[in-house]
Amino acid sequence: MHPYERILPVPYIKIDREGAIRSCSEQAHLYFNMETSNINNLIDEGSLQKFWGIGSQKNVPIKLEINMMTKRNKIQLFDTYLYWGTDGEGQLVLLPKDETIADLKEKLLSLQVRLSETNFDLLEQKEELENTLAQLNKLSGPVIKLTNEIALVPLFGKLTEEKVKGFGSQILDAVYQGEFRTLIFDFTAVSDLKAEGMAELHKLFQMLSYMNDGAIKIAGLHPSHAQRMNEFPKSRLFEFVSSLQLILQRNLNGY
Amino acid sequence: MKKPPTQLAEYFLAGEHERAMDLIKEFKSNSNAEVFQTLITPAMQHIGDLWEQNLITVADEHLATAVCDFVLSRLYSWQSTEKDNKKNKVMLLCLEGEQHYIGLKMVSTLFVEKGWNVKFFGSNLPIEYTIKTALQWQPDVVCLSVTIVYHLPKLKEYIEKLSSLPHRPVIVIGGRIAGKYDLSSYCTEETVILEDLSTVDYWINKWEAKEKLNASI
Repeated sequence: MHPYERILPVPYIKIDREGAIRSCSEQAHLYFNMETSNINNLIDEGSLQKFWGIGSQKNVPIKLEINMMTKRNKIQLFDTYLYWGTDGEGQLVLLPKDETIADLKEKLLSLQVRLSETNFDLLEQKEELENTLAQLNKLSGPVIKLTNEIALVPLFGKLTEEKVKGFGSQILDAVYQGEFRTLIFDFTAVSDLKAEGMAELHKLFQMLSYMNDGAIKIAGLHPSHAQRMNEFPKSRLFEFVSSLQLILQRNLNGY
Repeated sequence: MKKPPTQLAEYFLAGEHERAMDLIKEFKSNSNAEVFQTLITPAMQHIGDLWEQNLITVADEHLATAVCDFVLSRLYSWQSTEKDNKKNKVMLLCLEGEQHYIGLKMVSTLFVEKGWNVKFFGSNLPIEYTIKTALQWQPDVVCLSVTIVYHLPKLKEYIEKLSSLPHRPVIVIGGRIAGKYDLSSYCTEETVILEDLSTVDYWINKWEAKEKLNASI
């Protein structure tokens, strides 16, 4: 080894055409496990082809990005300057890629991880929200037993298809289990009637009529509801009453 | 005229996501699996080749990957967690330290497309978290992606721990080295090794056909 090779201020390795290591600088020891006898053991397997392919073709100095296995058993990217002399010896200078780039890469990666976590958190929150919404839908049509024969179903909020589906099954269950002769649907707290919601409600009334020959009454309609109801085909499944008070008076007189 | 994968690779490297999307959309009559297998994967492989030929740097590769990810995210779904317990469930992840997630993301899309419930965790999911999630969510299938040879010992650990879970999910291994090396010594007898995206697509179809057959018996 030439004395200057040892003291070169950069990682320097001299190899032969087989990759056998002939000598190296002290700096090379800082980065690599120089006890190995062949450079192939220091090059990442994904970079071997590049090193021996393009890196070996020219007898002019060439700069390559090569992934190396460092002493800490970590893959690290090096700018590798390689020159094959006519004597068949390869002179290698390996400069670790600027660490600021590594920092940037790390930051980019953490942002990417953060994004994918956010994406996942959002999905989980969406799931939670959907559950809450389903729960809210159920709560928007509670069945309140007034007497053994009469139940009140106050409806709340915007009457959408999902909402009617949400509370529909519990109404069917309650009717199946009870012996109600009259079901009163109170629309006082309904803000908006959607056409799809009404169609779904109509289906619900139909199912209720199959299960039970009692009466379905609708109370508490606003003028805007009445307009929407008007668009709806006339049905014998239910009847309208002007006020909840009236219907309760009529039905509860006997109690 | 350039071949479509080469052209797509150029758009990825130049950060031209709109053009990349337009190019992919030209193949809309093909199945997603075909587009992934014959267009997007070869484009990414071409980018790897360019690095090997010393024509681009790792920084260029990172940019291309980010653009490819963006394009995939815009054009395809890769997560689906509907509350339908009848659906098959799959979780997909890269081993700890493994950053190459693009291939796995395309696999995710194939599962979503077939109506599975899909949890895609992307790169670098530590084993503790993997086991914890698999225990809670009980997926039918767990897909592991590995592209770096040095991660193979970890692969063995993941497979052993996942195989010992009470509900015994089917473990599927994919990634660049699945098509290159014999991984059987890292796996159990039940582990499925899938070499590329077409194989994944075929395997999901086969799984579903088997389920239908079982249901009809």
